Amino acid sequence: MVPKTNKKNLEGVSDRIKSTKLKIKDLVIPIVIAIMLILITIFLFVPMLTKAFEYRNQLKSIKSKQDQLRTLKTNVEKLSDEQLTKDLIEVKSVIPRTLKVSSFLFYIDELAKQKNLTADSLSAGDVNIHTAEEEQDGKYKGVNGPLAYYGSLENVLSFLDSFYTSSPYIVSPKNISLEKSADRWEVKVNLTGFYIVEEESVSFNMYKPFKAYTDFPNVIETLREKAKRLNSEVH
Amino acid sequence: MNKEKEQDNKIKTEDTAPQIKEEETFIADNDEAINLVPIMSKSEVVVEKKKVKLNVSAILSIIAFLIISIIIIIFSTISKLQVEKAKSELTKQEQEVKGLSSKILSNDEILSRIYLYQNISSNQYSPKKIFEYFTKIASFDSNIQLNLFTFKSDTALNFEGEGDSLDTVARFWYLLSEDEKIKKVVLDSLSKSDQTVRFSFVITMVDNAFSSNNNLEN
Repeated sequence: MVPKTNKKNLEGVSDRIKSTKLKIKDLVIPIVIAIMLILITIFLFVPMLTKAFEYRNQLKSIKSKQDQLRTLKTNVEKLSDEQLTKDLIEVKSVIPRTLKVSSFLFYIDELAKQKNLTADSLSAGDVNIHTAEEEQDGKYKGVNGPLAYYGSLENVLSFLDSFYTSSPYIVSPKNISLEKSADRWEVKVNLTGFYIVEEESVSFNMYKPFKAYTDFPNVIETLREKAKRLNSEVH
Repeated sequence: MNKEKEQDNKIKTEDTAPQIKEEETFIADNDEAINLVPIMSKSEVVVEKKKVKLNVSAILSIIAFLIISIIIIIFSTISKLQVEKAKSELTKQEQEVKGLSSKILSNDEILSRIYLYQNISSNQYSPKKIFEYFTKIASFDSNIQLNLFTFKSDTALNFEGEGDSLDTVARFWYLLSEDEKIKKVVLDSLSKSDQTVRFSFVITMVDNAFSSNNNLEN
């Protein structure tokens, strides 16, 4: 027979065993918390992280812009204000905003006279022409006019050779023809002078790649010489 | 009597002891005292351990979650602050550069003229050199006369001339077609009269055969 005390003990233990068993209600709180954590992760952390990475990318792009502006500022500050203004005036005189055939015809005619050529026909006119460059950005334009001279072969060839350097303006001969008639040669040419149309409202884009004009010393020197010649002849 | 009672008790205790062992050894202590807090069975201990583990891991996950949250918030906040700081610095720099805008625009104006100059000068060629080159080829026979040259570009031209016979013109044609600077020769027209043979050629030259980029700079 089991003693009374032991019986009570057994009942107590039995109850305790029952109460300490892992039940579903014990798991409710952890599961709810886990779900909450997952939801918070999806709806709060993921957007927060995405935003944070967006900030990082933005920061990278701002840093690169800052570097670009720093380089631009350094390069621009290297240019002398005085020299820049002087060069701009000179270069603009060689390649002006508008140009008439008469402006550069004078120099060609002078050259022809120096080479003892006689003007056959001078039907020059201000005709706007379209160049490949103009089609690209619409900035370059040219005027042209047909010219004709005759003289000895030697003089005609010398004239053709000095053609490019004779004018302080930027000119280019097109459709050059050289024809022998009796003992003389006749040269016919379509002469084009170029100019740059300036935009009325110039948009300033500081993030456009910058290149200093001083990187082309040879061209600048040539244009300076042309401008000098142009100015000396004007005065 | 007493001895008999003692013997009975011993027998009883001996009888009950194996019963306790068989069921659960913890039911009673050896000293027969009442145990108000009973000792846990093995299964109880396992269940309790499981519960403790569950609680500890829950606490640990919450702590980890909190740490991650703090890290993310700090990372996001720092990034935002950095961006704002960089933006304000950039605005300052932009203002400084705007002050240099006239200088930059002047530079651009000069550049556009430089590019135009380079473009025009890259297409220049010497008509004199081309003329002399073809005249030299034609000089193999004094009866060949070149009368009209038309220069279309640095690689395209046509010319007209006359010779004394078809044989002379054919030889001239052959020399032209064999020349290294000439890419293509087309006999455009050929006409024979009593004393002369008139011809015209359309010539395509190889690239840069007569280009003179330095013409403008000289």
